[in-house]
Amino acid sequence: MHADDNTTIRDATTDGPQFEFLNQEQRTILLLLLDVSGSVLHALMMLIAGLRALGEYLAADQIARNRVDLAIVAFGNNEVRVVQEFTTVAEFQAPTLTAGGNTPLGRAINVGLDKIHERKTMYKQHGIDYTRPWLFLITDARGTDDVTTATERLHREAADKRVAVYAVGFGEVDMAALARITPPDRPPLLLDGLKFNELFQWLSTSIRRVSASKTGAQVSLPPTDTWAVTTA
Amino acid sequence: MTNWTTTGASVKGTSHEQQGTECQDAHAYHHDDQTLILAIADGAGSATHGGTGALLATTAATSYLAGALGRRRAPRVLKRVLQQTVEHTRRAIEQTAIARGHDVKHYATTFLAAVLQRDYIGIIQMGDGAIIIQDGDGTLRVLTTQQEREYVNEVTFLTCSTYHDELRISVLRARRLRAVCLVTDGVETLSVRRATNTPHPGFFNPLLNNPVSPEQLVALLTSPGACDRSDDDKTILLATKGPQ
Repeated sequence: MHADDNTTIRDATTDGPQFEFLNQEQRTILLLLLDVSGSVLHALMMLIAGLRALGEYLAADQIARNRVDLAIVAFGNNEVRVVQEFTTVAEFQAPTLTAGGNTPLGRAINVGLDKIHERKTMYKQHGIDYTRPWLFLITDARGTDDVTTATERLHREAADKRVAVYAVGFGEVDMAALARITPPDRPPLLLDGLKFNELFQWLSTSIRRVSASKTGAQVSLPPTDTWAVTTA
Repeated sequence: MTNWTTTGASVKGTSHEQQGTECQDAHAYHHDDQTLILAIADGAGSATHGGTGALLATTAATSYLAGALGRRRAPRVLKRVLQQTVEHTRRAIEQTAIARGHDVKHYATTFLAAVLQRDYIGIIQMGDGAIIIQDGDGTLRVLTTQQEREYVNEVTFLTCSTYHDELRISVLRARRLRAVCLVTDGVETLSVRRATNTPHPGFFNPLLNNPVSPEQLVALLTSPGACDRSDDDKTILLATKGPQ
């Protein structure tokens, strides 16, 4: 197994010699940007449980497990940490997370976009197709660092169709601030209470659908009213 | 070619299992003491009789080549014979279509063939799939070229009127060859690196370095590892040289 390029899989057939198959299936790139600042502490267990459920759901799907690439960048504790480097969901183990400190959201956005760019470059070198990457942000957008340049970069890359940005605000979230950060084509949604389970179920189904679609095709996502507050 | 062994298998892909259609891959071969002829074909998924087209292509080509190469020929003649084989095979498919009152496009298929005579190998490439050889020292090489195309689902078929634009025929000197392997697209995607058109040793070494039965090939092609990463029909046709 070549861990760096994730394009080779060792598979034992029943008896006789062992064969290695290449995995040149199209990829669906999903990067989760998770707020683990002090204000998230009460929701931390639910966040971790949600990640585990996401990984299990996708790994159980015959198509998604060889196509979905998952990375997790956590920001809080006054730092930005890549708690999960890009990996195929078949290999994913939910990480441990600790919450505390303030919220370097601006830095985190840059790290997330850099990671996505690296992954696309690697796939281009291997001639592997990929769907437009998702950057999925879950935050309360409070006590952040300077987000000005990160916001500009996020808007630009979304407008160039290099990334699809999804943002979910929860708890005491400053929705106005979050709405300024996210690109205008897709406003942030507000999590209804602590419905993290429902949020991650929605994300699992959505990403599975994206992974089963042909690159470039439109995908219809399930309704968000199972977890999001709907505004009039 | 007396100490060579030929083995092949074509299996239905999981996408066809789901749709209830038949396997649209086919393979055929001819093996005598002077000549080895290997042919595979992948019927177009969109063609109602693509599987029949593939079957016709492989059997018509193999029997024509066997007749035309009764004795060992020089490479100049081999190239012309390969070109004539393509013409003959296209006519065979057209005649069948006409006799059944169908448009020939319903029999659309890719086509790959390799002809080995002592010291020379000739190949015909029409569409996707790959031909891999192994030298006496174990080096693996892909002889076919990757198809340049704008959209991933646009392949030129043997039955297309524009076939001549994409047809590739070549004859190469091939001393100390010890194995030849033909695969359709459903296996190529698992075993040939797309960006570099290079064969993955982790797949071809176990396949070509050990004797393998058709049953073992079927087990390989229907294994979860193979089907998880490719739901297409799958064909492997290989010939290996025994010990001196």
